[in-house]
Amino acid sequence: MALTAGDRHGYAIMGAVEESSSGVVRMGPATLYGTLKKLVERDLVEESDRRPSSNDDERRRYYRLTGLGQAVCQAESNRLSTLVSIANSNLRPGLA
Amino acid sequence: MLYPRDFRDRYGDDLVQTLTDLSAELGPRRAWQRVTLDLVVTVPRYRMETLMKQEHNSMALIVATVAMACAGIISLFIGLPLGVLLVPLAAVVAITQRGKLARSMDTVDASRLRRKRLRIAGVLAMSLPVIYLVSLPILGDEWGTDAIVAFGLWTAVLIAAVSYFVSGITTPKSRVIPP
Repeated sequence: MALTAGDRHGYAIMGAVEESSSGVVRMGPATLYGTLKKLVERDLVEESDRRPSSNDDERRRYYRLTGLGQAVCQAESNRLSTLVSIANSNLRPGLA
Repeated sequence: MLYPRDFRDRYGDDLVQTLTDLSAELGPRRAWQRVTLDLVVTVPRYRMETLMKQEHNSMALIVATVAMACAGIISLFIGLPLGVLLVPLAAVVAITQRGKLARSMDTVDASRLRRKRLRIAGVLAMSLPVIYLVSLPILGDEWGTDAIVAFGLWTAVLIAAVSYFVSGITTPKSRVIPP
């Protein structure tokens, strides 16, 4: 989900995850790259050649969502949204 | 050194870079705290995942187990005492390593049909030494009806196992097609 906003390098992904979860999820480096490895192997994420700025460190590797990755993100978002709707309607039947 | 080789080769530099970034932002103490906690959680997990992915070793184990069982039975039929050692050994290997054998047939990217065929082949192969051990009491010096039935059953299971194995490994792996 952190890559839906655009291409990011590993440390930026860590920061985005921490920020979007309000500090609840704090990934370590190995957790991050282990996850990225699995996503790359499943063709959901790929390495990107594009650099957002020319003065960025050349050694940094950037990652982006593949077409399949974007579709999976969308499907997961829809699924969670449906679950929230169901939970809301069950918990507050009068308001749904 | 703690992580599996392929992980180190692929992401070693990125891990160092991220640690450097973390140290610059949080300070060395807090950065190492986070990295240490991460190490404790991820090292055993990645090591375990690497072990579970070693399907080629497991496939060799299946072939070795079936070969041992076959060699043992043939030895017994032609009167060599080696079979007395090989057949129980094959059974022990099949029983004690059944988890590893089963995992080797459950690869992530294999098609469902491929997995199913290989799983059936594995079950059949593992049952070969068991069938032989169960039929041992009825196998005498002379060929009686029971012995012929037992040998026929064993041969049929062997042929079925080999057939499922060959059809399993020749089934093309499924590929995820992007929408």
